[in-house]
Amino acid sequence: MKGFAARLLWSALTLLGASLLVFSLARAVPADPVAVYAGPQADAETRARIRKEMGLDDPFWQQYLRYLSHAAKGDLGKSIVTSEVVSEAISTRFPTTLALSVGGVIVWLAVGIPIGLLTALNRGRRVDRWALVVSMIGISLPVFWLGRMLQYELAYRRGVFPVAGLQSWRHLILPSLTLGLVGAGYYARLVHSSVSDALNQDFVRTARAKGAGLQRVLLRHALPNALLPLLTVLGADIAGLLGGVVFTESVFALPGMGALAVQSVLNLDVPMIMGTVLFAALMVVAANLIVDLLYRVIDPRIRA
Amino acid sequence: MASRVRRSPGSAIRAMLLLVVVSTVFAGCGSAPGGGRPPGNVFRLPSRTDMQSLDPAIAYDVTAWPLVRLMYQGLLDYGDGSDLVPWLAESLPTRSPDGRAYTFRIRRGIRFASGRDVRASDFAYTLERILDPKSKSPGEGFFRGIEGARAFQKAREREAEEKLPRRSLEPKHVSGLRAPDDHTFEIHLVEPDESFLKVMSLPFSYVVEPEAAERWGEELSRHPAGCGPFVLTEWRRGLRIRFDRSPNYSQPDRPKLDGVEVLIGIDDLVAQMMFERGELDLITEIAPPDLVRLRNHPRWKQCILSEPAASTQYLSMNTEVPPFNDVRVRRAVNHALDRERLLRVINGRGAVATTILPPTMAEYRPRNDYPHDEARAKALLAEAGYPNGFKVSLWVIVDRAEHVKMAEAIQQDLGKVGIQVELKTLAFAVWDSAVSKRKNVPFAFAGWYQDYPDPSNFMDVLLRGDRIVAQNSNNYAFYSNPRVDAVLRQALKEPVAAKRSRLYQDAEDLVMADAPWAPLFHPTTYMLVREWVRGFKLHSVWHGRFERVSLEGSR
Repeated sequence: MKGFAARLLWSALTLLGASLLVFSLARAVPADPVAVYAGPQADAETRARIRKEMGLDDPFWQQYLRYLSHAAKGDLGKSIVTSEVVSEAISTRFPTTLALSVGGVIVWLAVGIPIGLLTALNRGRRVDRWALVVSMIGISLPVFWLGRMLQYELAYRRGVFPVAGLQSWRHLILPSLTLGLVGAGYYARLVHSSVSDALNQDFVRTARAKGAGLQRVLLRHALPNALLPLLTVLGADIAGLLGGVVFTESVFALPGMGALAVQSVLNLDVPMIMGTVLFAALMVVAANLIVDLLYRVIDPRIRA
Repeated sequence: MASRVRRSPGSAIRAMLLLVVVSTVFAGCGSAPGGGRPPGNVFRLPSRTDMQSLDPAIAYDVTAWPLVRLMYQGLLDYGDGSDLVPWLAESLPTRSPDGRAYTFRIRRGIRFASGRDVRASDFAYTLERILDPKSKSPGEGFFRGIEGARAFQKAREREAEEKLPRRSLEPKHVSGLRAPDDHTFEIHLVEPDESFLKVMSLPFSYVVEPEAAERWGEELSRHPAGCGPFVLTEWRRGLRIRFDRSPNYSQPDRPKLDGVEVLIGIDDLVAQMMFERGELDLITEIAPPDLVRLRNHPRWKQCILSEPAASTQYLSMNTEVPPFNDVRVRRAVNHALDRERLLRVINGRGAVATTILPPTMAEYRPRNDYPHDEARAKALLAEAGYPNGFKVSLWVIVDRAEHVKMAEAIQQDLGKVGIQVELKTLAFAVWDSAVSKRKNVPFAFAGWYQDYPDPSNFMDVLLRGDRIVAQNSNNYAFYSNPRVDAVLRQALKEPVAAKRSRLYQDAEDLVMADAPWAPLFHPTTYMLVREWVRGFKLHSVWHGRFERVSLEGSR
């Protein structure tokens, strides 16, 4: 448990570091947030007043500490462009990203694990070679290209799915497929190599020698051993996904975290940029902690 | 066997690659689907980005204004052109002999969405709200010429600084705004301003219900407070804005639509696909490559609407910074540009610009001070001490596809006379912040769309030297000519239209001779409207007036 406490401390420090980095970068950008507030007709006096109200005249460290103390209370400020409360903006966008991510992960695993198992059992055969080729193509496809192609073919030309937006669950199918198909190839290869390794282990040979059936050997012995590397990668990938599936969201006009972050950057909406980046950092840290915990559950050696 | 194993993946890869290429090519060759009209009496349109605000005091862009007009109305509007017509006023206002005061008679029986009658004092409240620093209205500058506006603003600023209760200091109201009875509203100006009635037609001045505005403050955007035909019923940030018919709309021109829905975050390409599939009734932006295809498409070419926009896109040369502090260099740049070719680069989406004012304006006068002449450009550069040209960065806004494309062609034109241009493409916020700062950016690709159809909205805002500020200046060229300033000040007060027009032409003569700009083109607005949409026309000021639209036909 001591190790876990240390991990927690590191996580907090990571978040602090991320916040300082983003805050410094946001202040270094050569753009003036006052210009966003004040219209083209505003005079110098009005602009100076707005600058003062926004606290932009205070020293850097004072602005940073003020931000941190507010953030600690859950107050990430307001957007300087839309006046939206940042924490509310994140909480309304996050479910979309979460739903899309879950959809993507389901496709990853639903496609990746069976193909990985199938190819591991048929190493060197035609099905393995074809799966390798397809997986490599999947891994290499840029997500925005695949998204556009699926959108063009299945939504625009054939009308099987809606083109974009989020009016119902049907709107999430194509984006999830896009996200999932790109990642599935990678998971198929991962499962393939892990299971292949496991199948070569002595304990599998022993189990087979003792008369265990292939299915039992695969599901009870080989797959659990192959899960550990899968979990490591999955943890990191899910964190990345939650941080913003930027391209998929923008291709399919989904109002998620990625779209919010991109728009904030284009508007130089500093409080919103800070909020989305910190939230993404929090997700990465949290996902890593959860993976750590799961490790301890799955692999008794780590617990020891 | 072994050799077969080695060879197979290679052939498989080739086969797969072939499949991908073939499928991609064929995907591009497919015919566009027609897409029938979805059920319902709701008008659907896209928007690339979410609205900053729908509060009439705050909203300040061409995307938000047509939506503000669904919910709010003002004293004056435009007819089909740029002619002012009464709206909530019974007639155009009467004007005092000294030209400083306007009296409006307000129509009876107009109700806010809450059901309460609209009174003259509500208009006074609306304008005071804009002028109040607390509202942070970007439109306050338009109304500062009202008598007592500055004193009112200073009192509110002092209250905020000294943390005094609001409206504790005098003056508590703007003295130039008066409502002697429920149906009479007077505005008194410090001095005559011939553009003021056009300012009064801006959505900033659309009447808001004071009780709602006080109650909701910054959140007013999300609550009904106007007297327009629709009310906002849903705003899911980043996704959708929905307007439904207002139950208390009291005027005879009742809307024919049940609702209007704006789908947010839709880029041009996706909007095009959704439009063709019938998921959208109208699109307000057409990507440049699509326009060529659509113009040649038997079905979609009939859906294209176009109108010249009241806008000038130009190269701004910072007159305070070398090498552009020399008028000969600025003239050389003007001569070096082959504007006809530049326009072809963006598929001819507009008209060649050789003036400051766009042709949509009554005061426009065609001219061509700087015909394309490379030899003349080179001679001017040599005269200015740059026989071998110079290097300069051109600041371009990254998400204006036409600007980026044209900037590359400008690079070639200027290269021919020895000016080596490096393109600096930036997000608008960064671009604007840098370009509007004094002595900071020498050369920028800029553009201006009118707020209201009056030459002062171009000349005074963009070229008056006495309005230059150190930061956030609209005069990107930091051009200052006291003679121009004097003519423009005189024009603002000149009541006789012909004389006023002459003054603006004089000012334009002076500006063009000084060449702080190289005008490039006046863009054309293009929209695509489905065949089942009725009553929609492009408007030179508002772009679209969705409140008048109805859906018919293919249900």
